[in-house]
Amino acid sequence: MSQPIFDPNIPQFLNDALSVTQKSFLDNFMTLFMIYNRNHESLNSNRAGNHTNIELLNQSNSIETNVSEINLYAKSINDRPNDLPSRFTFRYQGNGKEFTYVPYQIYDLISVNGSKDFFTFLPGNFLVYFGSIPGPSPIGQPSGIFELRPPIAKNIASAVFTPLGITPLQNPTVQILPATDGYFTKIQIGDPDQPNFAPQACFYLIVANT
Amino acid sequence: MTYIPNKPDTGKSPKLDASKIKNNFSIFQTVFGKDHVPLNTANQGDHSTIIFTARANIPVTPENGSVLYSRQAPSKAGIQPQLFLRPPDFLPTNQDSTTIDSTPMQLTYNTVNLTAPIFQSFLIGGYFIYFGSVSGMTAGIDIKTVDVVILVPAPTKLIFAQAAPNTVTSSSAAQNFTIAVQLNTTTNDRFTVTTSGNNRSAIIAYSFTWMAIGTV
Repeated sequence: MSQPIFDPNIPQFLNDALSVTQKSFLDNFMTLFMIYNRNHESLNSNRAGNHTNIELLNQSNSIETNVSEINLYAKSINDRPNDLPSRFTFRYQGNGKEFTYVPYQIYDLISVNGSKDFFTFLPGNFLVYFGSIPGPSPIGQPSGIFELRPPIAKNIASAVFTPLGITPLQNPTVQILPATDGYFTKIQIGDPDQPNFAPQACFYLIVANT
Repeated sequence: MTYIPNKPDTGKSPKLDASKIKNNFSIFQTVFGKDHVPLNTANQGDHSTIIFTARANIPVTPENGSVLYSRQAPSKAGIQPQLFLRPPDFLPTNQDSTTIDSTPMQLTYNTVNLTAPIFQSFLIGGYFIYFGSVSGMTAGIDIKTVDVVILVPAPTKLIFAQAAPNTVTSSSAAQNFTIAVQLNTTTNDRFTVTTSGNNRSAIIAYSFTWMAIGTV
């Protein structure tokens, strides 16, 4: 069965006979029925009008909003290979500020050297790393390198570490190591020059720009 | 009324199907008026709201975009419909060698708490975030368990907690004053905040702020 073509100009003339326009009527009704079944409960469902899902096709540009309108859409980023290619995006009324809600794909991180790592996002293209680092260091030495995963932090906005344990010993010595290829990926935990002062296990929360 | 997409019939007088044609138009206008700005009004075609019916399965991601949907999701409080976003496949990249499927990400939870002492919201990925402050605490020389923070609603698993002292009555006594947190090994709804003691003979007064994250 070929795809019906919707023709908004039916009937074309007031005196059209049904024998002339019947196929166009059928095509129009069938088209409405089929397209409404996409993303919506069927027209004959008792929940007709509800959405079953919303497929957001990538937009290459920001979508304009008038006053009293807000907009949710997917936006493609083609020139940044480490960004999600379909960004869930919000834009405020009157062509206002545009926010990225989800800049990346959340996935379960595998523990490395006993660390327990997680990440999520905040609106505005912020990435939040959080979890715990075991003592005395990520690599079982008085000092070690803790790696940010996923390695997509372009700027570290905030990094807070809290000793973990029933007895507080000392706040960990922390140094954010210089960016490599534009990404901050490593944090020095503990002081390599002070091997007798192994840092205590700690919880961490780091907010970064992606 | 039932929408009949295969009307009007061929070969008949139009008047025989006129009521069905009107019926189809009427149903479409009524149904389209739900979630959308109604026909024949300004901004017709826009969405006025979006009501999601919870799906039984996870939808396929369009080839060039993402998909939003609602699905029943488990949490500590039971099973409730939540809003999910499923993005397209994109990993690995030249910076991240991880290979994964386009996993749906939970965007919502059904409660927030905007009042002290336990503020609570949620984060993308199915996480609770809690935060608050505790005042009126004192610390002496000895190490001492100062408080147990009990989180409401309880998370399925508490995975992160932080605390920091933010008011100290004596700057000299505050030197080397440290706070540590410890998750409870048997219950997931609480963590313990412990001070280091202040290495001075005087008792100091302090408060602390805290934050915690757990899975819903």
